Amino acid sequence: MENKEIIQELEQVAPLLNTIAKKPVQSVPAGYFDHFQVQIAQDNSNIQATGARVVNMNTSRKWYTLVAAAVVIGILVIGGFNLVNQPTISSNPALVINMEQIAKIDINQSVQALSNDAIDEYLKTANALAGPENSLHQYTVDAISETTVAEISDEELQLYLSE
Amino acid sequence: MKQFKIPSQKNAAFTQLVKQYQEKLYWHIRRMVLEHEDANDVLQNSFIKVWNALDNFREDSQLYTWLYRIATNESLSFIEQKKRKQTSSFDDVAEVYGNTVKADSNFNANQLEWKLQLAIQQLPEKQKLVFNLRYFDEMTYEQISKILDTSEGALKASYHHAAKKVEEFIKTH
Repeated sequence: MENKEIIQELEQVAPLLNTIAKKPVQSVPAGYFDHFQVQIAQDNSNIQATGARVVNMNTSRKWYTLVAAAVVIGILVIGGFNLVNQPTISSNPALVINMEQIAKIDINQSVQALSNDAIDEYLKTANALAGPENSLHQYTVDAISETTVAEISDEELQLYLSE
Repeated sequence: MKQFKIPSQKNAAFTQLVKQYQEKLYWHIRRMVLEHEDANDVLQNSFIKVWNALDNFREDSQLYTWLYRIATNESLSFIEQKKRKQTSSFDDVAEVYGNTVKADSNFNANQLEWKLQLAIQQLPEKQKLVFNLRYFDEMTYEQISKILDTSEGALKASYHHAAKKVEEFIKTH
């Protein structure tokens, strides 16, 4: 009955489709439908698709997992606690920088007190730390004095001396 | 259906059900997912769903449409998953489907039946479903309506539209 209706319907909409066989043309493995089965589990509570492997969850090992997890969490907590509570510079009196004392230092006086040799020694050390590209070798005390005085104009010197 | 209510007869009844519907459901699924291996997986999953839901099955709804509904939903889920996995390479879906059809060992480009298969791949997923259920499974619009939760009027319009498109494709290829 329905088949007749479908043919008549197609005759009006797309008659060419009535001339095509509806038998499946795609390939199927030989004997597929004869051997097809859905495997039912023994306890009747569920069924398994063929080939699907049942994974047994071994519950006796569960406490090992919990202990291992607890140990890892413990290590992380203790490590974190130690990190946060590590003695800092501010809590170590020997390392505290007393800003009040620094403020009292007269920089000019202290620099005047340094000998040329001490300043040269400092510059050499600074050069070694700075590396060849950033070397301060040209800034020895003598070189600074000579260069600076030679570069100053007479007008500037006059102005300086009149002040 | 009464056998399913008796625990000692449930397995035998289910085996009978599988035997009775496996081929129809397989082809319904195969027309959607195209490849045999995929169709086999979806068919297995569909029957597992059927087994698990048998206790809740209401006898007032038809077993036939209920099985098709489960198989249809499983097929659509499978297609969605496959699309997500193949994202960028799945841009032209119709072309990919067409190539899958052509990859079949029985494929014959001159055979009208194969041209029909290629034409169906040009349809959107929902239209393809409606066309297959009406054309191949020869279902009434009422049955299709129960499977797809769509009004009979909309299904009729969808089928007519799909049939015209399929015919046009066959004529021009």
